[in-house]
Amino acid sequence: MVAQLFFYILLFVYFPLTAQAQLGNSEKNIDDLLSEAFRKPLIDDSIEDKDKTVEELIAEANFLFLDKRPIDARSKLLKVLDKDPNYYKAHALLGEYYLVHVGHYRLALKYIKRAQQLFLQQQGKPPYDSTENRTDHAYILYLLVQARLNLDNYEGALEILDEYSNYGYFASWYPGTRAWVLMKLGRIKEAIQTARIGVITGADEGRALNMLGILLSMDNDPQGALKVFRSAIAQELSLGEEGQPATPLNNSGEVYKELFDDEKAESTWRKAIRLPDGCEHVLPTLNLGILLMEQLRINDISRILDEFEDCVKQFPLRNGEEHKALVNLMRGRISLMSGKSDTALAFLEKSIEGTQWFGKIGTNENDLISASLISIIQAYEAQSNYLKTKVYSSFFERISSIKKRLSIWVKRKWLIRKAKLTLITKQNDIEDFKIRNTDSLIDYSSFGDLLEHLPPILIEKKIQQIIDSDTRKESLNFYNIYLAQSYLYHGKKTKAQEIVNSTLQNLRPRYDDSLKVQALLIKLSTTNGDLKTYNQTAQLIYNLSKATLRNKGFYLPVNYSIRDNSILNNLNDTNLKLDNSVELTYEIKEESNNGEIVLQFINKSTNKVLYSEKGTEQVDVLNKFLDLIF
Amino acid sequence: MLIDKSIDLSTSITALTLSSIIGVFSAYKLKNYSSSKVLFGILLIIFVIEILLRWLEVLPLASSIFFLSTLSSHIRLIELIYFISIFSTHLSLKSATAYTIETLILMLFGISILSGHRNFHFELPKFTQTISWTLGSSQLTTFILIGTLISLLTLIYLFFSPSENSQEGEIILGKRNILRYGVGSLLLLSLFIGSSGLIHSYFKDSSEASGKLTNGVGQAGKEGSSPLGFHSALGGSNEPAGLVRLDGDYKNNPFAPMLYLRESALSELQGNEIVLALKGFDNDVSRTSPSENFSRVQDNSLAERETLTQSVYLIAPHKSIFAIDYPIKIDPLKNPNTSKFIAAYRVVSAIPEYKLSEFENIETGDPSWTGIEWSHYLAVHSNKKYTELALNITKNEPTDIDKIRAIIKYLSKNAIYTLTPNHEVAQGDDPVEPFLFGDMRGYCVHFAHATVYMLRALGIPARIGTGYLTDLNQAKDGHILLRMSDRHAWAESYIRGYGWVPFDVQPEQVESHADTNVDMSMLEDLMGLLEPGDEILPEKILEGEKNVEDSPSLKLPELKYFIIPFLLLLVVFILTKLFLRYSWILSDTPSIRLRRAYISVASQLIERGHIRNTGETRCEFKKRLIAGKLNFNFTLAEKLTKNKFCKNTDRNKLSLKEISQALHNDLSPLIKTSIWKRIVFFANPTPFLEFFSRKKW
Repeated sequence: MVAQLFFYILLFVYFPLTAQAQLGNSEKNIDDLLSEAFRKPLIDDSIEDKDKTVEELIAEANFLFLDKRPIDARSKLLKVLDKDPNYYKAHALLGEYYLVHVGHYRLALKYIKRAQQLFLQQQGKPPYDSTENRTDHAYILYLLVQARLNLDNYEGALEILDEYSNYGYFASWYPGTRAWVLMKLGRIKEAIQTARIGVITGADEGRALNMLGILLSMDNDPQGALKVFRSAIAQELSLGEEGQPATPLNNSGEVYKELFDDEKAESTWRKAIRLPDGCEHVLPTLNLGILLMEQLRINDISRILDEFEDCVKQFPLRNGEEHKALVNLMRGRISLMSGKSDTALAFLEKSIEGTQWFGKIGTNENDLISASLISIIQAYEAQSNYLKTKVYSSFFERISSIKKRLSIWVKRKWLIRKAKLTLITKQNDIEDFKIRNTDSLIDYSSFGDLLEHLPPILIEKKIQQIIDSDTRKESLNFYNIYLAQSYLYHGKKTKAQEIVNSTLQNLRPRYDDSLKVQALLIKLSTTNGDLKTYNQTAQLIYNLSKATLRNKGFYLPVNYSIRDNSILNNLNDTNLKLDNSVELTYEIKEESNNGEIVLQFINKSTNKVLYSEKGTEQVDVLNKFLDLIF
Repeated sequence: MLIDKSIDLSTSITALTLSSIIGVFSAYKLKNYSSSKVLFGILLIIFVIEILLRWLEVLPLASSIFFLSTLSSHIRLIELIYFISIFSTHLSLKSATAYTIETLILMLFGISILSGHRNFHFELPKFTQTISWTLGSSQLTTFILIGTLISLLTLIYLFFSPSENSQEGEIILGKRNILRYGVGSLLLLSLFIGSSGLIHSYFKDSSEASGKLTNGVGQAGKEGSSPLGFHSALGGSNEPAGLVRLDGDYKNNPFAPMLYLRESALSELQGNEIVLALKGFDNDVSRTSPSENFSRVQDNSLAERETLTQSVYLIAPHKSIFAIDYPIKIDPLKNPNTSKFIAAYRVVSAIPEYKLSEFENIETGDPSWTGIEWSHYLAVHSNKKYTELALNITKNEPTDIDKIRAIIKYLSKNAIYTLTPNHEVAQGDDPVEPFLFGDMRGYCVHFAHATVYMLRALGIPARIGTGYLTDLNQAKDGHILLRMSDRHAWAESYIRGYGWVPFDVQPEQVESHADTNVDMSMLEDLMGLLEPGDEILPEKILEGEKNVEDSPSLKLPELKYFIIPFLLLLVVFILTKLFLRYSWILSDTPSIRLRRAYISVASQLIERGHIRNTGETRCEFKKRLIAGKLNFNFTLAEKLTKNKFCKNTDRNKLSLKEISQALHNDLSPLIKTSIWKRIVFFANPTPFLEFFSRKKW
């Protein structure tokens, strides 16, 4: 303790004075000065560690932590334990090291528990009279709370929090942490009360405000939450470089999203990712990506993911894998929406296999697994439909594709089962069913692709259960589409058609584009031979999302001007429906000469060539041409 | 359950296994029905169950809306496994062909599960990695073990298959069959063991295979040889090679986040490749084995170097140590866990802390080198094309450093990284030429050679460093898990005042590459092995704490969980066999004693492969035995038949003594066999199985 006090005196008295003095006559930066100011008095390399006292080694370790050299500090602390295995302070500091710097919570808890055991053996049972004992005891309890919290042992953490307050200890972190624990235990009202106390007492105000905002949002008070987040943002901004305004900004974005105020949600997250701490975590980028996906803005999502990955390189996290699973999930979805099912599968499989550290954020591993599984199921469907409509050069190639499709069919069926079971058993009876549920990673517009495999009667029941508390009119559109999709899957076309027709009118332009595509796909399946409706709907879907028709196994009607019969026959086997009997928006034109095949895809209304492909190998040209179109 | 944990099918594997076992038993019960009837029955039952499940799914019974839906999913899978098991067993009982097809399907299933290992990926499929880790064996050994086990299981399965001459479903363990199958099995077993040994030694000892397994970068051997392979680097395996624990921070790592760990340096140009030079060159490399001590005085002429201690725990065998840059002290360490680590050592290195951008206008080469050394590091390849290309790339570059950078930039921009360049190179030809002046497809070995050839052509001393290249972003608490896929070769040049500095190509175009993710749970497991001992951190300190179980790696159950059921089964087996043989003694009622005496003889006949067929009367059985090679007169069979089926008045009134005498007479030819044969017959489990499944003896 003496060494620690000595160190703090150095930090707060000696250093500012010496640094100030040196700043006047040198151009060295503050880090160099800090380094120079401390290295000499605290790390004495002339004496070997084995000849130093445990107090000296502890002081050096403390300095090394501050100098951002945690591994050096860890080595010093281990040397302390070599000298004195019962030195509880070294145990406690190692516990903190594994808790804060490594994220190895189990090992952290081991050290902390040992520190507690040794402390109680050496100092007797609490309460203590001496300040040093009280400080050390409070510190150990604090570490114990944090370790249990990180190991999701909330009851255990609350037990220690009670003990902490029973001995009359108080620290700025206390209200925020207690509120968090109570929230995790589902005691929202108590948590709100605790967070309010935190705000009033001004203890770690930013954190307490942030916590209070989350709690109010959970307690169905979004306006109250937004107000609190505004204060939290202001508080964090007032801290300058030390502040972390991206966190409350991200949270307020989530509230806007839940309120279906997509405009504000987008601008809030954009603001968050532009801040210095905006890419310390992937959440603002991820949330923005999911929102833009609902608006089918694929290029925007790619760009923000690129920016995030460029930015994150500046902040080496605990390990470089932290955000990768989530980024892979988003990249997989982008590829799927761009018609690249192979690439999509590669990303999505990585997202499910990759290591992901979720820490204290609400999103957990099961959120990621279920969201990735649904996207993988969609990617398999797209891949199967791609293989079905591809042009083949030989009979054997076609046979091999049938074999592949069969294997995809089995895999897909299996994954549907797995996704259903994950959502039901590991996610509390599909808690993510509530549209835009906080922490969910699901793409809500296409969630119906999985839900359709459940009986419509259960979907109805679930919707009924949710809309008792969910009064947002925008979310009703999503529920209706899920129900229609389930009806359609179970053969009740008329019911599906009725629901879709009424829902389509209520969709918000731009914000619900992805949902609109889903609704139109249902409409496409229920046209019952009405060619005009089919053509109109298919063209509408193509305008919104060009890969969707092929991904879902529907054809796009086009006019054509093709002389070569083999090209005509081959294209008729794809998901282009060549039809000159009606006037359509798009046209395929063949302009081949001298053995070179030239194909163009033209928008007739603007008379503009959208895509063009040329070459000598017909199959190759046709497949590339199709890839361009879809 | 162990299997439940290792394979995630969402539904309990135990339940599925039980359903398949019950399916097999059900098939035996249904063996007298025709296959079409069984199939029809199965389809009918599936149809009924499906209707019931659909009805069940929507029942408002549970508080959770989807609970019953989940339950139906599980039931459907269990049902599917049950019926597949019934039908396949039924078919195999009906026809030997079906049995063969079933065996083939099972083998194909096994092969497809294991097929991830193709292209030298012995770490795939992932569950083999977990098993290997749990058993503490190399992944190659584990893979061979699994393959052999599957083959043996198939063999055992075939051993029990109905032969052409046997009756439906009859298992014949007769003396001849035991000999026939036994010898065959032994031969096949020897073949498995022999071929496994050959495969193992091929991959462990052959330099060609070793190159493939180690990402093209093998281990340095003798002077004058090269550990590098040019053909392919498909062995980009995730197999763990070692654990490095940094005992301090490396804040000013010039290559951050990457870390180079040098194992060896190749500098002698020998024809068309660069090989390990004689001692006297590359003295910065220690060339010591992990069990040797080493120490040298730090070269203080080299600028901006600090010391850093690293502890290295080897998982795969290594001939020489590896360390960050210039090792100055090496001491072997006590192996903390002999089941996981092969050896351990501690190195103190003089680590570089310079900035690569500092190298402006600095000359290359060491002025203290002798003329021989200069010529050694500047030996130019005989092919003039390297010089021409190097001059062309660097024509506008004034300094050595600029030239080095220009060459690295050229290769990074134009070369394509691939694990399979597949260049056709005849023995003795230059393997780098088809890369640099051909398709530019290659991997680190090609890049390093091309760089060194071009640098030397420009008069810049250069050599190849080999060892590991790892990403510190994937380190935890200063612990780095090195995999075989991290083995790497890179070009180095001597920068005056700084020493040998890696200049590595980072290709912009990548055709294929090895898996890059480190298995974090394995890393944590290994870190756990290095935790302080019990005196500092008692093992039981976490007792009573929640959510602190070890990482979810596969844990084998303790041996007692196998031994206790095995012993119980053995006791039940012996008691049953004794009961079958001697229970007649316990009865004082003649009719019961007669029946039990009959069973005693029948069970011993079964042990010798003579079984009463389904539908065969005891008398017919007796006749068959007399007519057969054994020429056995089963008098008790006749006596029992008469006693059972004749009217009460006509029944043989046999006394207890007469029954015992008859039994003695019947058994006498059987007892004449040698004692060891009788022990083998006693071990035959068929009567035991018959006791639990057969109603009529």
